[in-house]
Amino acid sequence: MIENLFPNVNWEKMWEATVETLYMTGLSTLYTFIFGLVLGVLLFLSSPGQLWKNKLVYGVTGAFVNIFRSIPFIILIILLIPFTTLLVGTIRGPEAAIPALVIGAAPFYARMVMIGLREIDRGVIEAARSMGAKTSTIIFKVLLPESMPALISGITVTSIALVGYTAMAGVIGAGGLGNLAYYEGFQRSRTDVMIVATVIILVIVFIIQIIGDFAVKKLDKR
Amino acid sequence: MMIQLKDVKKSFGRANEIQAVDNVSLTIEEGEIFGIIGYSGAGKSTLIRLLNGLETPTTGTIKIGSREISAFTGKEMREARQKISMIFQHFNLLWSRTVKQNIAFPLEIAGVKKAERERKVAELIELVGLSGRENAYPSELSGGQKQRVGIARALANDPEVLLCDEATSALDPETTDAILDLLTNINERLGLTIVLITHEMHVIRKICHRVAVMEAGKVVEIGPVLEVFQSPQAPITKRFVSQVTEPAGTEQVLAHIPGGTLVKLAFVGEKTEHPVLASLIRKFDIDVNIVQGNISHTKGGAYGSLILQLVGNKNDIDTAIAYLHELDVQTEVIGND
Repeated sequence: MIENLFPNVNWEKMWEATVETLYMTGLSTLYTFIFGLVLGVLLFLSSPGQLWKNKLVYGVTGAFVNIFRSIPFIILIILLIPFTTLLVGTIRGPEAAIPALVIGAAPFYARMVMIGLREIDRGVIEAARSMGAKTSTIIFKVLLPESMPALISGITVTSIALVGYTAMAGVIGAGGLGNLAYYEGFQRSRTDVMIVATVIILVIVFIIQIIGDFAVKKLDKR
Repeated sequence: MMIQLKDVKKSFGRANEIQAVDNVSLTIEEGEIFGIIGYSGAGKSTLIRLLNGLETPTTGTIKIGSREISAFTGKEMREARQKISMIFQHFNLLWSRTVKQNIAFPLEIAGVKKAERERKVAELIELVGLSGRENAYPSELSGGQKQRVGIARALANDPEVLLCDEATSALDPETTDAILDLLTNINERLGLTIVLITHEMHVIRKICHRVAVMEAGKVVEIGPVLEVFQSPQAPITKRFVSQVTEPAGTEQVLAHIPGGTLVKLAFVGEKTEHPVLASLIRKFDIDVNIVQGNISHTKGGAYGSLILQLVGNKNDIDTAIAYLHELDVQTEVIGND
């Protein structure tokens, strides 16, 4: 039945590509979360009126975030080829896509982290200071827990964007569903392969969204 | 002496052109409930934040107990803050933590062990009357309950001083009274020094021993609450005192009184119990009409005010007023036909 509907689909290859996409998305989401959080917290704390207000740090971090957020991803991958070669040793395969994915997504996420942190009531930070809290305590016990729903919904959106980025990275040789859909599907005019790859990508996106929404709902006690 | 401010100035702005606190010197005794009243922008918020180092003075010194807070930075300052706690107008609880976890937060900061934390938190929940709500989140509490959590949290590290930043301004009158009772109770039971800022004279009247009135960064009047109520000096103090001694609409009422002489009497302490009115009528050939009367209770005693309309011939009225002066009742003629 399925063989008749999708005569050109090699399910083994399709599964392999799905795993590659999940691998790229998962790992890049993890790194994006870490780097984006660090950048976002730095951006927030150095911004005017905050604990570490510092024009230089704020300016440099802000410029870095804005530049890398503005470069189209497909161009970013090409620009980062020397960097990727240095870091991973190759520019082909799922591993090679990770640096570009993280550098493309972390600044985007950093902005969302900053927006989330800005929404924390200033009074709560003041209260923590009045109790004699250190800045590290304020970061880990006030800023992050109090903005957790925003941080989670931000990483959900970013992670979904990353699924799209992996497909693009696939076209220039990173593997995964995007690669399969383009080379096996589009270039050989096998529509069924494209359709199946697209449907699997959609399912991945939906699952990420559902998990994200559920986590936010569970965490938000406001 | 618990708190001492000496020539404290705090300026803001690029060239320090905004004087939020302007040359304030005052002393607050141990175990005292000290109130600072002023309209918004008078500098009282800045002043209270100078006491726990959330703001640092531009010039001048601040001592809390034996510590010179104004010279502290870093670790020293953070440790001092554990003994000078603060409650806030908007409570400032962490929404992500339960009542219990919110109260435990300052203990975590102070590095108190888990078992000890739990013991202390249970004790504080009992003290502020929140038993049964320990696992609720702030969003499930009423304003009054949130402030109780704020108070419990502030008491966690056994502070020497409790700073209250408009702590009842976001609460309804009944809840305000309940929270003020709780603060009085804590002051009496723990001997804690309390400094509060407010724009409501009601709060000062109800719980403060002494009051300072602030205007444009300066302390314009300071003294025991009853004294300030009895004979307010500065115009702004008079306005604040009339907030609680004259019911709303007094001016309109007075405008509608035809004829006679209007006098305002102020009674303090036991004089509120003397039958001044009866002897006035008995001794003089005048008609006495009560326009308005009011007795307020302060921590230092009762304070009453009475507005009378005196009708009769001028001589009688003059001798009657002289008689009132003799009785040591503060008398002020506020209107003549």
